[in-house]
Amino acid sequence: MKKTIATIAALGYFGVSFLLVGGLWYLWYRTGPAPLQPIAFPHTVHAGRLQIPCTFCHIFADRARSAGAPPLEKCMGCHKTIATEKEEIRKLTRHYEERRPIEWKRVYALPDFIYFSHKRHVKAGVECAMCHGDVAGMKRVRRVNELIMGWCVSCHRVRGAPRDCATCHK
Amino acid sequence: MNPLALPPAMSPDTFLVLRYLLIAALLLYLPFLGIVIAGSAASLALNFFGREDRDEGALRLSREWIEAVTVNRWVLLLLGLLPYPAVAYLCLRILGGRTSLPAIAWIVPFGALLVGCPLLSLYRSAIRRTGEPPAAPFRAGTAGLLATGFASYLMFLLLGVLADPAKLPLVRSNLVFLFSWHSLVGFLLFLALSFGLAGGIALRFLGRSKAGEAGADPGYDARVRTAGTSFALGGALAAPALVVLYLVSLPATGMSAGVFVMAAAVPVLALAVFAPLSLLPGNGERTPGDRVTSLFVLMFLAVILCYQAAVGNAFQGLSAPPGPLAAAGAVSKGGPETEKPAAGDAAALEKGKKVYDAVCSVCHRFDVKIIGPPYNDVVPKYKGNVEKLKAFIRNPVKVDPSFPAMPKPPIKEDEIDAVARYLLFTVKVGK
Repeated sequence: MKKTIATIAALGYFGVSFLLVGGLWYLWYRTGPAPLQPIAFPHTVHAGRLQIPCTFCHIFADRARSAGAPPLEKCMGCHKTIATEKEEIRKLTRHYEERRPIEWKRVYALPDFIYFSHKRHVKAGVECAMCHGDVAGMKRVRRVNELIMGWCVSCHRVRGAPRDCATCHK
Repeated sequence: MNPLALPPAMSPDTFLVLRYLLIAALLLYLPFLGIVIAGSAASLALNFFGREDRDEGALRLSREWIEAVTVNRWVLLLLGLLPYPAVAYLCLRILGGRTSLPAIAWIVPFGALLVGCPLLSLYRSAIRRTGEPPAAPFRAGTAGLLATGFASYLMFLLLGVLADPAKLPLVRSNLVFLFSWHSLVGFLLFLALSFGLAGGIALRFLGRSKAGEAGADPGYDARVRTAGTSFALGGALAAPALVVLYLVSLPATGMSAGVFVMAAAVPVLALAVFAPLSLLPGNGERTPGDRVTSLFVLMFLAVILCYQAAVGNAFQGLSAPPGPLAAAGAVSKGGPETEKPAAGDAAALEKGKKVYDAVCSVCHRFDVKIIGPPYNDVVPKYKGNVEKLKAFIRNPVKVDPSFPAMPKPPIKEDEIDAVARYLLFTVKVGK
């Protein structure tokens, strides 16, 4: 009897750890750094091969807190005529015709108690890749930094940017 | 130097080669270092209690176990010391040659190994020579074990930096460097697998005298079996929990399906070690040594591949030069240097260049084809006829069927005028 219980406990232990690995996988898949987007927008083509500058689409990066996603009109400016036969472009066109915005999944998010402005950083000459990594090489955009406080502060220290608490926590 | 600066551009191929070399080096080094640490720890403990209790069997097992895991003195010294510089070099290369790491990250472990391995070798020779060794070699062995263990912990800290390179700028002092959850869990996992593997080696090579053979000692064989089995069972039980903790300690940016598949292999392999050893009727199978040893080697392989996949993911996106991503300034690279314009035109040309940078440059450059044709090929035909160019910009029509039709640009009349003048002024004629 005792042995049976020990056997079941041992097998249960291995089973539970196997399931935990699976559970962590699922958790990561749902909340991970590279969320599936409603339209498979390839930065590899736009920012990579075509070398379109970041601020062409993310027009608010150098003038507001949020870098912003481009309006559908911007996409359609080119895609009225370019690559119209592709499935993803058809999806885009449907969104445009039905006046339905694309609900992009957020890749980077800061908590509510952080004040962060893209404008300040772009104006200070921080390159986009410094925080966002080589987006031009990413087929699906993934988070490359976890935006932890120490990481922000270490850069502020090196560049002589303000390190008052109230700089970011306001 | 900006510690957050991206590492110098390294081609993806170089990075891949470095990673494969690191996998090979770790696969050679970690199991060996592990069994040396686990085997010496077992040998030292047996030696200590054997001397206390005057237990011949314990002393014999103590001697034979360390002999089995270290093979011989030269193997211990060469294989214990030489791969370390290779591992450290590969780690530093992958980090892009950044030397902001404190010396404790890569020089100190080698120093500790330089002390530890010879001391262990000394202990090994001493207990071979004398049946009941005095206390001095035991102390040397303990010091050697501690030094080797410390060195391998530091090596795990260095390996841990690779899995989370974003934390590198935070590593500014030895104290910060000396603790990281990820490396601690990795080190404990390494110890668990090492003890299991050392148990497997004991089961495989020791106490296998045949009945009736001269010097056969069934009591000793049973003791080897108990010791080896308990090591293997301990390793097999600890590994799955530590793998789960290891995954939790990895940053989300280092994850991928490959990481999880490799991690999931560990509980399965551990169960394959555990189940036949403890659950088969009649105290388990008869000769489990080969199976246990190879399963633990496979677990080492799975964990190393899991770790390497995480390193690959963590560096994905970090290792390329910023190139076209720069928000400002990069755009104007497309346009050639303009000649000094007449004073009155300067403002108009400046405005035209802004329009080119913001709108036209998305599809056109002067010298290369991007989406539309290069300006140097198509604009010269409008030379001297700015109105015709403006009319085309206002209402583009498809000219060359090999290019997609140009959409109507979202610019105002005065901007059309400015950009048309800028293009005509800047373009190279007769190219």
